[in-house]
Amino acid sequence: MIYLIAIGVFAGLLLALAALIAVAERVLVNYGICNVDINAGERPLDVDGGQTLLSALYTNKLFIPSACGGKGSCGFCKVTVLEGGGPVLPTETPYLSRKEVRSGLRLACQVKIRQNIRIRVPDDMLNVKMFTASVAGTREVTHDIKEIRFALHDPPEISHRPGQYVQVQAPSPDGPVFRAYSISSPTYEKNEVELNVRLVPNGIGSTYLHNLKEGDPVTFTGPYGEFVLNEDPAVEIICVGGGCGMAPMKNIIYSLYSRWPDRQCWLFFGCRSARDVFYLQEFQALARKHPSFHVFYALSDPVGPQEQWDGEAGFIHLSVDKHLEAGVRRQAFLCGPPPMIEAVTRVLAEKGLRPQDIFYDKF
Amino acid sequence: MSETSAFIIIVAAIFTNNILLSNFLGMCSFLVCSRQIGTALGLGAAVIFVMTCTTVLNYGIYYGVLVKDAPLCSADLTFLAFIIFIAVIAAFVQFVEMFVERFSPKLYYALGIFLPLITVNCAILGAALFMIIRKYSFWQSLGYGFGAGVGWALAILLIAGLRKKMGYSRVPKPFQGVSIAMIITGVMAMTFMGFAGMVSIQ
Amino acid sequence: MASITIQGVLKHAEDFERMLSDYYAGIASHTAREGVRLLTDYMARHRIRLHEALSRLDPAEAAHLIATPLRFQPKAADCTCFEKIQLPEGAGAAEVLDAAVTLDDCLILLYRQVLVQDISPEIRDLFESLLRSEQRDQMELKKIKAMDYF
Repeated sequence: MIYLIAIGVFAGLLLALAALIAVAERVLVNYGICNVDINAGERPLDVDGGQTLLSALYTNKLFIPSACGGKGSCGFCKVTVLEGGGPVLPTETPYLSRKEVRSGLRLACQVKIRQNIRIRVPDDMLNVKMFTASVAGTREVTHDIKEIRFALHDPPEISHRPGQYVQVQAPSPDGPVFRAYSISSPTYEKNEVELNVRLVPNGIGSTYLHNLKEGDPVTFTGPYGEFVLNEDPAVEIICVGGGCGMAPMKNIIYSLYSRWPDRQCWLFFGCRSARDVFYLQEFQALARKHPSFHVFYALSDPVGPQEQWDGEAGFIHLSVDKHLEAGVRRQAFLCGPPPMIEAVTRVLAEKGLRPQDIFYDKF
Repeated sequence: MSETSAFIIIVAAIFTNNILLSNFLGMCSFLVCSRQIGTALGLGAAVIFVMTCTTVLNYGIYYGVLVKDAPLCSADLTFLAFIIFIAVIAAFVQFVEMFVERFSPKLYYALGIFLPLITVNCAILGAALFMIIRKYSFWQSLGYGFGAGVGWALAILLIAGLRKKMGYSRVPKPFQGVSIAMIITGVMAMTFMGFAGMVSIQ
Repeated sequence: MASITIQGVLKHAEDFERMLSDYYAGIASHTAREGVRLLTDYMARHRIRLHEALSRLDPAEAAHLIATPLRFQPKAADCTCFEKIQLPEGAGAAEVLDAAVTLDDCLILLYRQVLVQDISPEIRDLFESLLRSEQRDQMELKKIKAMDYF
């Protein structure tokens, strides 16, 4: 008998405690419905309180860039919180400079929604969508670069500007991660997204993408990126790429000639040897069709005895220096390793380009 | 039941019968959190609050339900005391955690993992058990719970101060870190024995 | 046991950054390969991270904070790191980048040694941000290597 009573009393007490906790949770942790005001009323959201700002924005299809998936370890998901974000937490301070803290920048994955909150995000971010797609085809363009095409399913169309990028979701042992790749297909191909992916040994994203086969499903968010092509046809466009930085340029060039067939455009591409060269035939064909398109490929390694090469030699900033005349109105898009960007920027500045007309992918 | 007044018990629990220094209860979080005065203060405050409240709660449950011929259950269930006390402490700490998160996120992040760790702070359970062993009345229990909490907080603050000061001194290699902290805890326990003549509870 | 202040550690790191910078500048002035010259020239100018990190400290508290004493003997991040590196004459960009990653490991090791000490939150923040920017640099080096341009 005593055992039954003991069990009964014990269970009863525990139940009472559990009930108390449950009630307390409802009262204390339930923040009710909170209002998230984005860009002063542009897109008001009503979300359940208690979750993080990042997950609230994700469930409402507003995709802030984030590479770590909300663990607070990449520092990409910065948004400006104008009101209602609470104090800046110790987990955020390593990613925010003093100036950013003063201007109200926060990591969306660390801000908990406890009350109505007002935030500001770049306008571009409101157009970002999450796409499900499948691999439509892959093609090896050099020994380690693959061209991968995705057919979009949901949503079936993407509208992007040339030079923008997407974040592809790749599986990793610590949960899904996102890796950024520039869109190489032109903007008028709305049902497809094409990427150029170089295989990096031990790279999570590139290994995943290189192992994809036709028909495999993929998920990505996009488009991201602030580059805006100058709409004035009198302005020349300069594209300079190095190593494997070709994807955004291909997009820019094809999009550009579908709209302005006679616009001046220069493409400079530098790599080490003839086996790294890709898309050269395609661009030469385009140059025959549009005489205003100039294409230069340069090899930096000495040309081997068996190799055939009649293009430029040396580093690409030297070719830029050689072929461009100073004093023309231009806009430049650069893609490559930071030392190359720096060298090319210096050359372009000597040719009279203003810093705000030189754009490069920060990687 | 002893006749000592609740106020005397508070003083005694802080000085003469300091739960940490005379019973060596709650050593684990004491050693880990005594590196910085700020953390020590936060943890100390949390322990004072939790200890006072859980002692009272456990008093109510023990004398209301568990003892023989209690108002709510006539059977003698005192053998359940340990497990029930632990459940009550765990539930209460959960509650405090939610409370702190709601009203002071800054303190919540400062305390971090130590807040839930109060659950396994043996000083809290120790206070509840002393309350039973020493047959305290309700007011005495309240005084004891509060006093023991303050005593624990005082001890951790003192050690935190000492450890901060010790940063400037030369400690022989084998004694560095936790071992020197244990030694100064012992020395401090001995100094607290100087209070022993003042008042005495069992 | 030797005692060193935070200021001492920062001085140590600064000296090492300067050594790194000189080392890359030295390679840049001697190499016959244009790519290596461009690369090391860039690296010589972009290895200084301390000023940026120190500027985050509250100036009112900085003087007090960097006087915090620690008791450990900094290992790594000194001349011995360079002895481990044997760059052959006419080394290519890939070898230089590998060496740079190894050298950055020395600084990362130094910062980690500080982080396991008993330090105040401000100092912890400072060294965590130093560690992070160093790791980001290392990532950048690896990406430059992966881009295979030089």
